[in-house]
Amino acid sequence: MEFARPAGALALLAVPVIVWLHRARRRAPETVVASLQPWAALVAPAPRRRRVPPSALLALRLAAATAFAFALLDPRSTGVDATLGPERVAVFLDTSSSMAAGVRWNAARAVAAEEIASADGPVSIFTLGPRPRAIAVDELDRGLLARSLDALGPGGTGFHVPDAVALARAVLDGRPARLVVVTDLPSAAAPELAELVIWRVVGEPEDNLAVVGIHGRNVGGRAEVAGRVANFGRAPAEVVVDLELDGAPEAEARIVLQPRSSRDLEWTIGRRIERARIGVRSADGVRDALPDDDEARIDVARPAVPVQVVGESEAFERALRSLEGVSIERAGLGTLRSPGEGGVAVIVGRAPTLLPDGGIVLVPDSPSRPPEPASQGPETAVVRFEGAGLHPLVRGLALAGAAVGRGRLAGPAAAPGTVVALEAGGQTMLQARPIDGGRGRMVELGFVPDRGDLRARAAFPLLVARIVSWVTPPRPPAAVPVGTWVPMPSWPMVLTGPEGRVQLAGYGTDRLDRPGWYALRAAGGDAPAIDFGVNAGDPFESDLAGGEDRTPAAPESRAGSIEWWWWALAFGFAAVLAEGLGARTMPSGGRASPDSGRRAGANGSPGRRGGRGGGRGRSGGRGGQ
Amino acid sequence: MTRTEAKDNAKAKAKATSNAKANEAPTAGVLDTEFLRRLEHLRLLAAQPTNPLGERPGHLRMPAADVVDHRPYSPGDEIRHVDWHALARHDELIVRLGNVTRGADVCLVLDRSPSMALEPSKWRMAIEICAAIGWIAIAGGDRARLCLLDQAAGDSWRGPAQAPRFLERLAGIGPAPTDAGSLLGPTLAAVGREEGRGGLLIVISDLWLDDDLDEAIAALAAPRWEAQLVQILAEAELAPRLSGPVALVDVESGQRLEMVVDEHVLADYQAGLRRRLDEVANACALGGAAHAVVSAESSLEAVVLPLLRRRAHLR
Repeated sequence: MEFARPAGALALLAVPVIVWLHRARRRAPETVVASLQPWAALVAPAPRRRRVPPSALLALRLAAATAFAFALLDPRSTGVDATLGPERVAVFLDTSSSMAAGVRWNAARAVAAEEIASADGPVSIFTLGPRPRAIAVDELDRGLLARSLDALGPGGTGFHVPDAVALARAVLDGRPARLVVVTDLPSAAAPELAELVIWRVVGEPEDNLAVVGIHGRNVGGRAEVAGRVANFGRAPAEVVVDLELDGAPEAEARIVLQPRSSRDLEWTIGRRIERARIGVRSADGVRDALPDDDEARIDVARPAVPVQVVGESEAFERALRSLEGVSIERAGLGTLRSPGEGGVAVIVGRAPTLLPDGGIVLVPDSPSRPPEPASQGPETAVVRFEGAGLHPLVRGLALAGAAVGRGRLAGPAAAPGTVVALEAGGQTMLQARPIDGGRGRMVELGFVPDRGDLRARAAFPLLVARIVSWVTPPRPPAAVPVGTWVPMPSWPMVLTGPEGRVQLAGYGTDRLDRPGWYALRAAGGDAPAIDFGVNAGDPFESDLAGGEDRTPAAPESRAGSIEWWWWALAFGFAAVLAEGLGARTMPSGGRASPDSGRRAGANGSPGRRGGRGGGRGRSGGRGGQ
Repeated sequence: MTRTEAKDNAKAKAKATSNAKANEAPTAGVLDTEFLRRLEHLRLLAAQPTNPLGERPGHLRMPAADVVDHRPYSPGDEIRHVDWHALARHDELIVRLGNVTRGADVCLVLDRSPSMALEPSKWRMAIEICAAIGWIAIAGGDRARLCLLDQAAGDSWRGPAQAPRFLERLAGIGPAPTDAGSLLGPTLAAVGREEGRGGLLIVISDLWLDDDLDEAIAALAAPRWEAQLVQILAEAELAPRLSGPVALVDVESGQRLEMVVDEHVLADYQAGLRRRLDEVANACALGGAAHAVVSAESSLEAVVLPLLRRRAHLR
C-alpha cells in the first residue's frame, strides 16, 4: 500500500493531543454540596488522575482521528479491487477520416487491441464518428472483439466524445467501466474529459494537402465550379490543382500555398456539365499524408423531380410547369408507377386505393363536378387568413381575399397526423399528412384550382411549388463529407459506391466512409439514379497537426490503483457519529449516580448554578403572585 | 352576661373580623388560604410576653375597667377606677383591678445563604416555616420581626391586618447570591441590641455556618429570650447518595474536595453528621435554646408543626 500524500501523517499528531486532553479533562464528576464541613474530616483516598482509564469514548475519538489521518494520507493499493468485480472496459475508437493518415489507423487498432487484451472483464467497443456507434457491448469473446476491430475503418468527419460516452453509459446501463479513447486528437482538445476518460493518442503531426470545399452549378448554358485547397503542412507547398468535368480533364493550375493556409479557385465553363472533380497534388515533393482528401467531387446536374400527373387540372398543371427542376409526365391511374428515386404524383379526382411511393398531391375533381353536399351554398369561399403564424405551406403567401372554389377532400379530415394548412368558409382547403407511417407525405387540396380567382394570383405558383417541395422525398445532396448523414427516400434503395460496392439503403445512411462517386436508385426500379459525391476533405479532419500528446491522460486512479481514502473517511465519520451518540447517553465520568441531578458537568459547575437558580426561580415565582 | 364577658365577646368578634379580612387578603402564594385558616387556631407559647401592646392576658393587675379584683385606694390612682358601688356599701375607697394584656415579640431570623438555596425543597421549607410562625404570631396579635441573616435590620408587623403584608415581604425574598455576611453571631447580637425586651427568637437555617454557635446563642440567652433553632437539612445532606470518585464543591466558598466515596466513607459521614447535630443541640441546650432538625422533604403540617408543638412553642 502506498500513500499519495505523506504529509497527511501530520494529522496523526491529533492522537496524543486527544489523549492529553482526556487526561486533562479526566476529573472526578463534580458534586455541589451545601457545605464541606461534614466531609472535610473524612479520610478517603483521592482519585488517581494521572492515569487515563480505558474509555469507549476515548477509543472512538482515537479511532476517528486515526481514520481521518489515514484518509489524509490518501492510501492506495495496486491491483484489482475485488469488491467491484472484473473491470469493464469501453474502448472508443476514433474512426474519423484523419485516422487514415500514415500509420494512425494501425496504431489505433493496436492500442485498442492492447486495451482489450489487458482487460480482465467484458469489453465494449464504440466508434467515434459524427454519430457514435456501439460495435460490441460487454463482450468477453476476445476473438469476436478482434474481428470487430478488423471490420472497422477510418472515414468520417468529426466526432463528439461526450455523445459517445453518453451512448456507452446508456448501453452499459450505468455499470462502471474504464473508458479509453483512442484517437489522434490531443487530449488538450477536450480538457473537460480529462477526469472522465483515459485519452490514448496515436500518430505524429504530419503535413497534408487537401481539397476542403467544392461547389458547382449550371447557370443557363454555362457552368460554374469553385473549390478550396489547403496546405496543412509546416512549409510552403507548390501544388497542382486540376479540374475534371464529366470525367475529362478540363483545367490545371499551379499555385503556391503558404503553410497552414487555403486558397479558393473558380472556373467558369461555357457549357452545362454533369459532374465536376477537383484534385490537388504536390508539385515539389511535399509530403501529403492523407491521399483521400486530395480530391473533391460534386454532381452539378441534379436530376429533375419527376412529377406524374393523373387527371386534368389546368391551373395546377400550369403552375407545375412554371417550376424549375421538375419534369412532368402524364399518366393514368393504371399506368401510375412508383416515382422510384423520389418523385411526386399529382392525382386529380378520385385517389386510388393503393398509393404509389413518394409524394402525393390530391387535387379535387374538375369544375364540372358538383360540390360536396355538406358545403352547399356559394361555389367559392374567400380566404381570410393574413398569412402569419400559419402552416409552412402557406405562411407568408398573399392569399388573403382570394376566392377559392369549393371542392372535396379526397382523404379523411381526421386521419392521424393530419395538419390543416388552409381553411376558407368553414371548409378545409388544404391539409397535409404523412402516409404509410412516414414513408411519404401527402397534401390534399380542398379547393378546385380551376375555380375562383386563386389561380390568377401570383402566390398560386408559389403555393404549388411549396406543395411539391414538401411532398418530394428527401434526396442526397450533390456533395457530402464522408461519414455524415445522407437523407434518402424511405423505401428500399440501392446505393452503388466507389469500386462498385453496392449496398441496400433506405431513409438515409451515415456509413459512407469512403470518398468517391455514389449513385442512388430505387430497388427494382428503372428510374435514373441520383449521383452525388462523397468527399474526405474537411478543414478539421485534414489538419493532421495534432498527435503531439503522446502521454496518456489516464487518471492515476484508473491505472489499476485502489483508493482507500474514502473508506477511511467513512470509518472516521462513523466513529464520530458513534462517539456523539455515546457522549449523549453516558456521563463523562463513565459512572452514573443517583445524585446526577445535582452533579456538575465537566466544564464547570452548572449543577451549582442550577441549584441556585432553581431556588431563586421558585421564590421569584411566588413573589410575582 | 356580665359587662366583662360582653367586652370579651366584642373583642373576640373584632378579632374574628380582622382575621377574616386577613384571610381574604392575598397570601402571596407562600401558603394556601385553607392552611392559613387552620394556623389561626394555633398560638405561640411565650413565657414572658414583654410587649405592652398585645392581646395576651397578663398576670400584672392594674386599675382597670375589667374587674377581676379590688384593692384599697392609694393616692395617685385614677378616680375613674374607684368602685363607687363598693364605696356606697362599705364606705371605703376601693379601686377596681383588672389584668393587663401583653404581647410577645417574635423575631424570625432567616438564613438565605446559597447553601439554603442549593436544594429547592430546602429553601421552600425555610420560607414555609417562616411564613407559618410569622402568620401565627401576627394573626395572634403579637409582633413579628423578620431578619435576614445577612441583613440584621428587619421589618416588623403586628395585628391580623398586616399579616398579608408579611407574606408579601416573605415572598419577595430570594436566596442571597453569595454567602457574604451570613453570620449568626453578629446578626443575633444586633437583634439583641434592638429588641431589648427579649422575646421569642426563631432561627431558620441549615446551620452550615462558620461562626461560633455557642457564642451566637449566648448573645440571646434565656430567660429574656426564648430561642428556637430550626435546622433544615435536605435529604442529600442527611443521607447522601454518592459513590466513586467525586469532587465535592462547596456552594458558598467554591472549595473543592476530591475523594472516593464508598460505604465506609458514607458511614463516617453519617457519624460525623450525627456528631455535628449533637454539638448544635448541646450548644442550644447550654444557651437555653431549643433545637429542632427538620428534613427539607418533610411536610410542614404533618411533621414540622407537630414537632414545634412537642417543643412547647405552639399550642
